[in-house]
Amino acid sequence: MEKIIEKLKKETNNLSDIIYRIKYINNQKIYIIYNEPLVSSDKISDFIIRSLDNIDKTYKNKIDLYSVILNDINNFKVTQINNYQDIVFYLHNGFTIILFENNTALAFETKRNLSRSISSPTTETTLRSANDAFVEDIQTNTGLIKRRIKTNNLWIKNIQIGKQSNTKVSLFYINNITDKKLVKKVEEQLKKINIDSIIDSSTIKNLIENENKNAFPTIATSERPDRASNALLEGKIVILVDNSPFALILPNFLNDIFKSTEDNYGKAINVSFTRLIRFIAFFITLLTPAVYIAIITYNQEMLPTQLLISFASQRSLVPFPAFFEALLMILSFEILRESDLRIPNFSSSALSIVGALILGEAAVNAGIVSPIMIIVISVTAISALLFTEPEVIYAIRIYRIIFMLASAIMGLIGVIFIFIFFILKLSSLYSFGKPYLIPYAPTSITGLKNSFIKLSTKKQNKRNPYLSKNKIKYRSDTK
Amino acid sequence: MKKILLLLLILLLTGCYNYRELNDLAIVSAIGIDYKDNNFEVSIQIVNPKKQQDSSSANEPDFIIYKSKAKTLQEAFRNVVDTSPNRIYGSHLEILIISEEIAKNHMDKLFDFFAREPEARSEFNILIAKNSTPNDQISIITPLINLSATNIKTLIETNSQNLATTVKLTFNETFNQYLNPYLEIILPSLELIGEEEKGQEQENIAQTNTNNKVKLSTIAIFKNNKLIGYLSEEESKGLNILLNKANISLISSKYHDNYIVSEIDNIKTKFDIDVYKKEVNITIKGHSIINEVNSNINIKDPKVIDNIDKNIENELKKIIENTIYTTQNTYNSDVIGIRDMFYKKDPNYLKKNYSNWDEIFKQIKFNINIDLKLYEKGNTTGGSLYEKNHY
Repeated sequence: MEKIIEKLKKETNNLSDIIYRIKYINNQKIYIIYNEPLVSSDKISDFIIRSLDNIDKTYKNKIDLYSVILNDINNFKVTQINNYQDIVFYLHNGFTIILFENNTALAFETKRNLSRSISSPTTETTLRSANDAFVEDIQTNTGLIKRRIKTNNLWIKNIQIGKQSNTKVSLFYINNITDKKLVKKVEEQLKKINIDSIIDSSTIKNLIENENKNAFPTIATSERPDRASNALLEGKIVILVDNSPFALILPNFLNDIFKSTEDNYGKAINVSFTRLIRFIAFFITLLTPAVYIAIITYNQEMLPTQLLISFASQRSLVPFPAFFEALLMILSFEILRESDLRIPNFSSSALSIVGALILGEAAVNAGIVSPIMIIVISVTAISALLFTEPEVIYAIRIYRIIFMLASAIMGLIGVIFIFIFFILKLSSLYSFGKPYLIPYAPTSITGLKNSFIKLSTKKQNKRNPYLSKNKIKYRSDTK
Repeated sequence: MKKILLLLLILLLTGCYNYRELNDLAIVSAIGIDYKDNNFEVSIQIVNPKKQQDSSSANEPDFIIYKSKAKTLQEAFRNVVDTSPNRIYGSHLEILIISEEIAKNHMDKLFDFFAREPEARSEFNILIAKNSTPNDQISIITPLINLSATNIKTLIETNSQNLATTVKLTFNETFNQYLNPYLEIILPSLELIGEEEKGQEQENIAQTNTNNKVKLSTIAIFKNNKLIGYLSEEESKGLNILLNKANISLISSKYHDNYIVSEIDNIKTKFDIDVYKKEVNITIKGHSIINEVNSNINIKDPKVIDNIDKNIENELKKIIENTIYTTQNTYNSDVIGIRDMFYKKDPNYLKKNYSNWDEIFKQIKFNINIDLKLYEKGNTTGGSLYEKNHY
């Protein structure tokens, strides 16, 4: 007993946070050990110390203290431990450990509530839907998903990852829907991870997807439990990581970036229209600067005469080539966006005023950019903001610049050239063994029902065959 | 990443071929060509890009005219660079105005140059400057539509949709007529009203009643690619109807003592040819709408309506007959394209008689059938004068 205490003190360098309290119950010496920042002192004094005192008063004869404490203490989560590693583990997880003379120990859950309460989502806001979001505590997050899917088939695999951090990672899937091979593949990849610490779910994301091979994300992140639950029911896998409010959803396809959580709740015809707008916005934000540069520097005959004259009169005072002009504007917009994300809220109004002045009025008056270029860049920038996933915005940004380069060198032909390359690149992409362009290529009729248009919920009675073998998800018997 | 770099390197091999910044282009909107003293005189209308919508450039003209002259067209166009700082860019050419001298003697050179030029868009319209030089006509500052080329183009467009006294033909269509040995060219013509000197000043559009302006004129008739004359307004309408190019036209017919004006639309003309009898049956079908009734008649009466209908048909028939007579006898130029129809019907016959077509054309008998349906009378059911008298 004393040896264990000595060892623990030595390994933690006599850390003052860890409290070793000696108590004599029934004339037997026990140690009460806890990690002060992680435990709630109320719980310890209410349930452990008081219970121990009661035991001391009740039993006057010599007793088997271990079993009495195990039975009599007022705590619902008790673990029996008999090796040193477990003592350390539970100590660092906010448990209170009672160490007996025969080197056995009991661990009682006395965690302090360190996480915030459930609040509304900040990065994926919707107009009409459930308004709870994941928090940092994995237990709460698990509860949020389980509350939505009340079935025995919701299977969870817990894995400890991180040599120093020992983070709990939970892999969620629905047993009778999700592809078993996919689960096995992801599980293997998770187990292969050999890293010091997992601080956020994005670390896992970067480790299990091919990080640098492609710009578009093959794993989606979400802070919405309803989105995670919907994904699970489609046959996807959700990974929750302790201390991270963002769940990982995989596999993720290109089609998914056009969907929003709200789409599941809206009327099909209205959702379809919104989807079309998102599709158009995707191509606008990808191609507008490139096509504008191409038309203005190579293919002037593409424009109606009146428009060309208007463009010419607006550009007549700008001394820079159109490509440089566009690059300048995109650069300043990106700087503005980045600084807007980083600065605290109180100075953002100053930023927006400066941004509006620099990017708008003043730049035109100074003859650095033409008014039409401001329109082009604004439309591009606004269209990019339709997509909530930051990785998507960054991926589009990279391709936008490539498109612009091509158009500056070859005009519209260059744009078409890079567009073919872009499509090839996307179609050669896989997300955990599933083609990235599902349901467009390979074409799946079931998948197309919920792609650039959405059919009514009744008609979407099957799951995507590429995701799940269990195809029927809804049978509309009532007509 | 390597692949992307490689692909970008391939792009660089083109060396930015055909790169031209918008600032370096002189956008040509109209061209006027004249021929004097064995020289082509070319005036090029260039859009002034410095003209903005704001007040600071209010005094800037909307377009600038550059002139040059040389013994060939290509040289004349190249010489413009002597005076224009920017490269001449012809893809947005809208209007080409040629003088009568060119139309009479140099059409071949003109067609060759513009058909060969890769940059010129083949959608521009060719017009003949009727009473002044092409240079004067494109130099006139016009109200409402600032660019005079666009102004003329819009004039043609509007006319062909509302009145059909002129013909709307793109360069491509005209060139096809030129290449086809069985067709003759027709072109619209343009007149200048007022003084050309004053028309070029900004003051021209400072008044409500613009004195100096251009006006569309009637169709010019060619024979063997040489200008031989102009049709009258009524004949132009007739020719347009015969060529199936008129959508809407106005016809005023005399009824009793006064006029009835009616609009005819949906006009479809069909030709039925008998090669050996040298007979052409023309059937014209369409709708008519009464626009104006000046006499004291009751249009509610079915008999009156029948009479009016016949009246309009007769008037139209007269117009068509006049047109055919003028083309057959006055100009003896087969602008209606009868020769082409003969050729399609019986190529051998035409091959045999190709040389004496002029004579044959004169002998051809035209039978005209007109079937117009009066289907709208306007808001006053009976005719205002009649309603007033029979209240």
